[in-house]
Amino acid sequence: MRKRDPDKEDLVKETAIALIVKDGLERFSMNRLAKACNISVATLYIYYKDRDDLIINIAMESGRLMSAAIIKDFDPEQSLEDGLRQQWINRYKFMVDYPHLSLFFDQLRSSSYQEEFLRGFLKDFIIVMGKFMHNVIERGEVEEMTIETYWSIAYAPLYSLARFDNEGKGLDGKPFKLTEEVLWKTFDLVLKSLKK
Amino acid sequence: MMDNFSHVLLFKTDVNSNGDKLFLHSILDEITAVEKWNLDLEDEDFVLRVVSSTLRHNAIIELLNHHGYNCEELT
Repeated sequence: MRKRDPDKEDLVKETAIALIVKDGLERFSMNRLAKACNISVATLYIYYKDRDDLIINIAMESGRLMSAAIIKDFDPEQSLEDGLRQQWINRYKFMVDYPHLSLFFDQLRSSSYQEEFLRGFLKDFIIVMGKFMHNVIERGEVEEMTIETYWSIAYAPLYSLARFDNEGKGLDGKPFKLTEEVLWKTFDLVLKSLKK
Repeated sequence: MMDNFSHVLLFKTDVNSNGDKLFLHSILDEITAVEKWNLDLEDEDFVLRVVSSTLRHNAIIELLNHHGYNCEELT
């Protein structure tokens, strides 16, 4: 009789993400995953119905993980500066703690799994983030703008820095490492540009 | 998604088209002992996954063989 083994399940999830990040969704198969985990294909099919089921499950779980990490200690009633700072802390920490996941999400973004991934975290996340934005506009801390404009100013710089850090080089091809100093200097500039 | 894992039967098959899958529906859907089943057409082993608390591997293998398909236990 087979038993569910949580350690093995974690190994399967982590390896699946690593493989998808490395080779892309197209080349990802149950057979390759089983080989990489050193388990039989049958074991995978015990846990998951098929390849789709496996990817959808991992996408939803990762989405929930990210959502929980990003809204941790974040209060939508906070001032623009405090709230945004907490967001940068959470998002930066998430990138450091789960370096593979951002790349995994990039893969999902351009695939048919995007919807399931979003369903994993959208609800709470959008409510809290929307409320924060609404509050800071209401209090007159920032100008009224679309959520896309707000996101692009508030967070895109962080993700851009993370990308340089990931690639290990800056625009001029010289080595680049994201330091706390660079991070918080950028944050100050973001804050300055958002503040009315 | 939580199946009873001791009731999952797995097979490697040559059921490799949507037409064959439809045919499989016509036979497996009739069997009450088959609680759930699905076929992974994207997999190179065309894995058939059957959830049943009473059936053994052999019953499914014989059934598929009878209809001209290869079917063996996936190990």
